Amino acid sequence: MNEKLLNMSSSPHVRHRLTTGAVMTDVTLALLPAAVFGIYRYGIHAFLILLISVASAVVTEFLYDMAAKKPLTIKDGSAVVTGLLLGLSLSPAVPLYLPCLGSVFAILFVKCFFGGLGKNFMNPALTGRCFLLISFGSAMTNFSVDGVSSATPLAALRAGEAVNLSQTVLGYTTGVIGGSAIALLIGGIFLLITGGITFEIPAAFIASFAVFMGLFGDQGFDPSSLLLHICGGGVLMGAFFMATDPVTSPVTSRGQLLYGAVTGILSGLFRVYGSSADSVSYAIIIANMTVPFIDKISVPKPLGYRSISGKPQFPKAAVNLTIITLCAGLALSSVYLLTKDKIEEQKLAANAASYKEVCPDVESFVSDDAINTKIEALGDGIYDEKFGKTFINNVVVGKDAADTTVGYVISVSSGDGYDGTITLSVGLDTEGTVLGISFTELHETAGMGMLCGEDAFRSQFTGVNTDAFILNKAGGSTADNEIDSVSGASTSSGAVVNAVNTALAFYASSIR
Amino acid sequence: MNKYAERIYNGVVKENPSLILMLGMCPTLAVTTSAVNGIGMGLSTLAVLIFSNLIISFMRKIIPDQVRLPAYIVIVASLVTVVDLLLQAYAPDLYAALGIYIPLIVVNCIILGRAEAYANKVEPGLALFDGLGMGLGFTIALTLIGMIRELLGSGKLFGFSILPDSVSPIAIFVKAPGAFLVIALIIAVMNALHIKNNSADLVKGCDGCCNHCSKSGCQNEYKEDKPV
Amino acid sequence: MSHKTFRGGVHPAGHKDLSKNCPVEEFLPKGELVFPINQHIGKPAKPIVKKGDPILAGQLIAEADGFVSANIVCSCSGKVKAIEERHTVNGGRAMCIVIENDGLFTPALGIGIERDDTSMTGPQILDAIKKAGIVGLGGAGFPTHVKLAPRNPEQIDFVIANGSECEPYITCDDQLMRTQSSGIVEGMRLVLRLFPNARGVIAIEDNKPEAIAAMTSACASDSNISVLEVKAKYPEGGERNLIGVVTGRQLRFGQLPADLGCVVCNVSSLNAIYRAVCKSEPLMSRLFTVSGDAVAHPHTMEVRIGTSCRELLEAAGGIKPDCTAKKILCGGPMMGIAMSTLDVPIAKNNNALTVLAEDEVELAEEQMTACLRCGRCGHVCPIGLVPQMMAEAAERKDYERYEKKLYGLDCIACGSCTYICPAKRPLMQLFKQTKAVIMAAKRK
Repeated sequence: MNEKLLNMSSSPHVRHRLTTGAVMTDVTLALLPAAVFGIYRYGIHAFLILLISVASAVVTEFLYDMAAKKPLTIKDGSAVVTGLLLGLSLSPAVPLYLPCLGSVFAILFVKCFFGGLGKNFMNPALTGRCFLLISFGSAMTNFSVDGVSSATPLAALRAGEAVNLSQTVLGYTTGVIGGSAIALLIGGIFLLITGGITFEIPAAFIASFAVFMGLFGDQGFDPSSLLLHICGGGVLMGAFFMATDPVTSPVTSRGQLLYGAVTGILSGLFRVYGSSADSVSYAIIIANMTVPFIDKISVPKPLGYRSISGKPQFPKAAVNLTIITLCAGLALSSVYLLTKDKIEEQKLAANAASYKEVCPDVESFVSDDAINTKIEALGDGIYDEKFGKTFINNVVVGKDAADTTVGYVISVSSGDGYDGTITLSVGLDTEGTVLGISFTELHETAGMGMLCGEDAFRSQFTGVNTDAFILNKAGGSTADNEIDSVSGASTSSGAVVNAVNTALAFYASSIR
Repeated sequence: MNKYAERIYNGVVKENPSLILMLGMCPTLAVTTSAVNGIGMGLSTLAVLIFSNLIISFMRKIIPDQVRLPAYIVIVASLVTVVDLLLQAYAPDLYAALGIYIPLIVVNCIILGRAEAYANKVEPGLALFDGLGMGLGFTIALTLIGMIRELLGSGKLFGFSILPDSVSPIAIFVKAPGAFLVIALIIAVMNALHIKNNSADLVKGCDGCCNHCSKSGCQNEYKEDKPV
Repeated sequence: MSHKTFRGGVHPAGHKDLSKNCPVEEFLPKGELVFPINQHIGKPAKPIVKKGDPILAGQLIAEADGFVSANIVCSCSGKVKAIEERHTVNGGRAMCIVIENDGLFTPALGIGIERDDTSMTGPQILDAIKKAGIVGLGGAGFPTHVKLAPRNPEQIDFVIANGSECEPYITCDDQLMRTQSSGIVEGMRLVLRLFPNARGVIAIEDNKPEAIAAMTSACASDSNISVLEVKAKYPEGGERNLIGVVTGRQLRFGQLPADLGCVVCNVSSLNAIYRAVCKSEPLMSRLFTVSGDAVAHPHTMEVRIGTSCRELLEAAGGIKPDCTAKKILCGGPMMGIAMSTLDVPIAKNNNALTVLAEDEVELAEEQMTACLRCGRCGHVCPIGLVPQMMAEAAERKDYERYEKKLYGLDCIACGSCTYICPAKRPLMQLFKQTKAVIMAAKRK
């Protein structure tokens, strides 16, 4: 035996056969049921989305490692997991460049730029998803399959419609590719059994989410709607696959319990009070940022320092943090409830100012019961599809000193603005001529859509008597009822024109 | 090159206020939603910078040392108000677009930083060209960032649609996160090409953590010309 | 019935079948015997012989120097060949007494005489133990007569015999318990004589049913001694975990078991105590397992202290044909030391030679990735530390946090964390280095 060839290294000299690659493979396997179901339900396009998502992630990491002259890391399988998670969280109707861009962003910006595996501070797949949500808002919330668009179970729940719970659990309702609750649950249990994840984060997440929804949600502790909330909206995927990402979650058991609770509470908070389509994604990435702090306060007491009963001491700091988070949630909701009315008042006051602006020679504004009845008859629905998403809010009648009607102010909103809702007041005289328009809600892009609020644009409407205005995108209008679009802001301009037309239509049908 | 040209080169390349000195980040990131906005802001700051540097340099022997900061602020605030009124009168669209960031030019770190670090020490000619260089550098940086954000985020360049309608732009770039991403990428590219602030290697002790100016307006002793 | 155990621990493959059922043979060495003077914790012993002196088996050749030190007794007869520096099993060099072996093993006068221990007092028992040069034979090598003389003997209420043997491959304690159960129990009785308020507990892992049966019947007649079956897990045999499982008390770094009212002895040490006191046999031989998947005839032998490892490997049949040894360990695979040469002597506290044909660490080095923060290391640590945080602090050289906030010095170097880590991080190496740096700084 040649002793010169003996290996020398530090103890221990044996190793468990589990490797990083094996851990990642387990997670990929656990995601397969959801992926298979998504492909089965949504067809080839969904398969392509998943494929492109995974391929972009792997290729990006490979290219970065080559360019930055670092050792190749794609064989540890973490890029595949990120790509697959991102792909599963997308709607099956997104164009294919979306998963590509999302994966590139997730791997390059969130993982590689911070040092690669183990060094990212936010979940890459979720950050990629949030990047896509902010960048391509309409594409990401479009769930129409084969041209049929329907509401997701959560949107339906919010609108007060009935939702079929068993369909949702199985995954036959509208949603993202990896939306099948049962498939995700199977994957999650597989991971728990094989030791890929531990129970603390999913249990704490789902439990605290359910409690929060019960306390603050619209339906309270009703079991079927709680179950619906848990099965929809990415809670299961978040609880078992996203929040449990080892790199961005705490290391110790007690830390993980706290983190799960924080994530659950934040998810509930965003779902009840937030207006974004996605609550769980933002909740998890915000909770990711609390992880270094949670780690710091949750170092367990080792053998020799524990209290005599043998059980670890009560994690005071962790409990305090949970209480603080709960109090913050309570405080936020209380302040919201308290200021709701006052904010309404302020809006009304702003409205009054705007009414005066569009209907100048008026002594007072009164409301007319007949007209109000007609507005109530419209319900909460849009006025007419041809105007897009417009709603009649309110009509007041302008009376002069002698109490004769001199004009009307119709407050109308359009949800088709580039950056949210546009609300304006349209002043009409007794003949239906537009006296002027004035905005009470305009949050468009500075320098573009905001220019709709300028006199240059608004004055085009003044003094015109027509049934409907027409938007001229190219400019150079000749007829009275042609409106030049604000250069570069045709969406905003179009929304405004539609809103005015809605007001005119309502006037023609209900006031004249 | 002669000393005046050197000032221009310094302001545009070697010590670009946005990309190397990292001054005035707030207006940089907030205003550059389009190239035109970037140019507008840059030129407004340039105007203020040239005149403030010039005036402060002329008055450097008169301004008492203990009240130099209040004095600078009075001078700069007056200049900014002048610019504000001129914009309001002759360029109302730009005025509406830049909004609140015009009055904020008063506390833009570049103005006060250059006044403190440079203009109050040199003769007016050099101060003038320094202001010119810094202002040009700022304008170029802002225009560059604005162009990238506008192109990626709304598919336009200088107001003209570049991307075809079928390709939707990546909206995040005209919002706040996009601003950070774009400037980070530009600085990363510059680092990769080795155009960075080499004086960082010389300074001992100061790690640039003070938010106000990183190094050019530093009040304490950790200046690069004074070995610690 | 679920057996008592501690939180954490790992289950490496045992491989005990290779040697546990082979009968124990006595092995008498042919070559020279080498005795390092520092084969115990404490000050090295002082040689009392010189070159050329004739020596008999059982003769004292080095004396304990100071309070915490131990005698060294020669285990063969012959002549002192030299007193010089030689390599030792852990790769270092130490002053050694080299004895030329005449092959006769002539015992010195007085060796082997039966003694009636009932007439001996406590101090006399301790003296006999000290004379015999007995140290902790489980691997620590702490001088036994010092361990058995704590400040307050009346406060000791547990004497624990460590029969766990949790390391893979090693079966010498198991086989000793099966064949010499009465000797071990006698040794326990002698120790209990020193501690009037104590009771004896023999802790044995549940994967050694024959040993449990043998020991149970051996101590059946004594109501003060009992056998406790504990769950087979690594590192059950660690002192701190054993005390925790048997008594429920928690030992921390810097404390001795005696501070908690416990005395822990390996079963081999107890057997040696019995032979020293009742048979006047100083520590000359011990059971030793030569095992490993590259060894032709793995088994346990009774070997003389000071035998060269090369002779021992040959006694076990050498390397298997068409098999190459990649790694040779003194000890077991979890805490053993990799050896660079076989020409080193075994010391009193060495209990095994393990020869491996595959080096799993080699494979692990190729599979290493960045730390995943998966937390498995924290789950398996028997002390309840968080190796992930310790490694982070150690790599940043944040020794303050390592010691004070993360209790890093409490690490017992069992290697469980490094064993389980999926990213194959070299945690144990890092912790050993860090502990050395911190302790060196403390000594200054």
